[in-house]
Amino acid sequence: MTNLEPNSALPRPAMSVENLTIRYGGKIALRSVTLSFAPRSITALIGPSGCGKTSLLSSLNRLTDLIPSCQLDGIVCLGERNILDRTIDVVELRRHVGMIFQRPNLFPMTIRRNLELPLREHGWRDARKRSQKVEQTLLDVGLWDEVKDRLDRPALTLSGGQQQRLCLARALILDPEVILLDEPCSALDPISTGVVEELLVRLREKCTLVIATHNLGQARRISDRCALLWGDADGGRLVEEAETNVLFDRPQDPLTQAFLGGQIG
Amino acid sequence: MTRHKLGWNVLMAVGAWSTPVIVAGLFLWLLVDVAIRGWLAFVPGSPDASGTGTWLQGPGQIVQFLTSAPLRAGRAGGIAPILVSTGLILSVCLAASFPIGIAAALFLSEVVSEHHRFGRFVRCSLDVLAGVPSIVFGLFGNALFCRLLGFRFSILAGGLTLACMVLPLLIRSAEESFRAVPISQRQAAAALGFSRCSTLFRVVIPQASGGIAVGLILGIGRALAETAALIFTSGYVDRTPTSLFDSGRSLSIHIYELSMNVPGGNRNAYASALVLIVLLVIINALAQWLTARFLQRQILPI
Repeated sequence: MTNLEPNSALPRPAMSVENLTIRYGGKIALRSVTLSFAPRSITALIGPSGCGKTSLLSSLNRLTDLIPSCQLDGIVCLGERNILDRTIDVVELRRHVGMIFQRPNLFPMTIRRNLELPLREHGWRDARKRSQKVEQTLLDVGLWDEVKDRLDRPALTLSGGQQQRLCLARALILDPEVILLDEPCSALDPISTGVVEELLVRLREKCTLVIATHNLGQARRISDRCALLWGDADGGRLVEEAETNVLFDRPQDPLTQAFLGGQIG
Repeated sequence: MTRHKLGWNVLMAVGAWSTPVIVAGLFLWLLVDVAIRGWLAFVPGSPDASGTGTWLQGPGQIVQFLTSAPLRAGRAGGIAPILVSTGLILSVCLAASFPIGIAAALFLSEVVSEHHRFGRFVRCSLDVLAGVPSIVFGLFGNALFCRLLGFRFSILAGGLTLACMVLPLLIRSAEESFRAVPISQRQAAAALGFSRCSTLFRVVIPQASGGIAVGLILGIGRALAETAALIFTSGYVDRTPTSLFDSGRSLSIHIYELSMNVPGGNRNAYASALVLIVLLVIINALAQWLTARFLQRQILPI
């Protein structure tokens, strides 16, 4: 980060949450969290299972809408707009805020069709432009050389790491401003993980990334800022948030010290 | 291993193997019996064929049997009009049941949650309906379609009655295949900004279509084999129907008629049964082939 002083004139956040509380049918999953995500940066969310990382992530593109009992209170902003507003078009929101899941979830179709489907969905009528965009995106994620001869083969014949990168390509093809990643490497071997991490660091130049991860090493390697969430009996909460180096080297909260030191969690 | 345990294991093995052998044996017995007797009907000079009619003698009897009209109440002649009626009844049945079935299945799997009271009620009534004897459907169809709606004994009434009968089967299997599409696929679509409608049409329905095809084939099989529900609704006039409001005799009713009510009709009853079984086998094979092809194109195992 170019900012030496964490508090000096930060650029306006790409996304921010303010006093966000997430409930599932009355049970609180996350309690009044306030956080902001700077543009073109990687923010890592760390913490033990059940601390609300995934809930927080999926509130950022309102994927929580898929769960009928889920209720969000507070403010979640994309740029200036509060996306919890009833009048927000979630389809449009999700075009701007992409998401990658724990396990690759490609559609059981060909590689090409996996990438073209979202384009068509968002009104790309011209077949030639679509295939140019497909090629460009595959080049961007470094998959082009691996798949250019098999674009019309089923996507599920790819290896796990390739599938996850194709998922990334599928999200990137819509040119999102923010990409949410829910433990994207937890199902991958160390080598594929390395490839994906390199890719994420490169993507930082184009968009804002928020990554939930169990892997503290990964958080330390790739993130600019880092936030520790902690799950108590009465729901998860934000313990500490800081620049990654600061958080790892000089954690303030005793809970953070214990978690990063490996005493708990 | 003790002797006692060994004996027990042998007993278990015998039990485990004998049941499927018995089931397969019964099926083969039925198949071979019908095939032999049906085939004999086509062979001139065989004991079954002697003395009855001249229609089925000489080469090409099978083609003739399939393309000519029944004579002397079906003792002689072929089954062409019956095949036409069967096809029409089946088409009416599918045209009515398929769209309704898919729509209902979509409602049950996508609109109401699995534990919703209304959904549970509908599902429960479908399961009961699936177990209702077909003769009851026949009486119901007769009351509703033949009398109340004034279709009289017609192919339309028969087909619609069959549709009522097939619907529970179709809806339940389609619903199961919609539910079998993993939540991760819906999440993937939602996260890419797909509307609910395109998630359905581009992701869920294509992935469920293998299962839907299986349900459809089961339904067709049941409809094709149905007798009781059609006796009261489509009637048993054995000439070629001229419209959907005409009465028509389906293949299974033809077999029933020949074997029960027409003395000397056994030979042609067996021949018709052979045709019916061959049809069912062809439809089943087609379904398997389609499903396999479809799966290969869509979901290739890693």
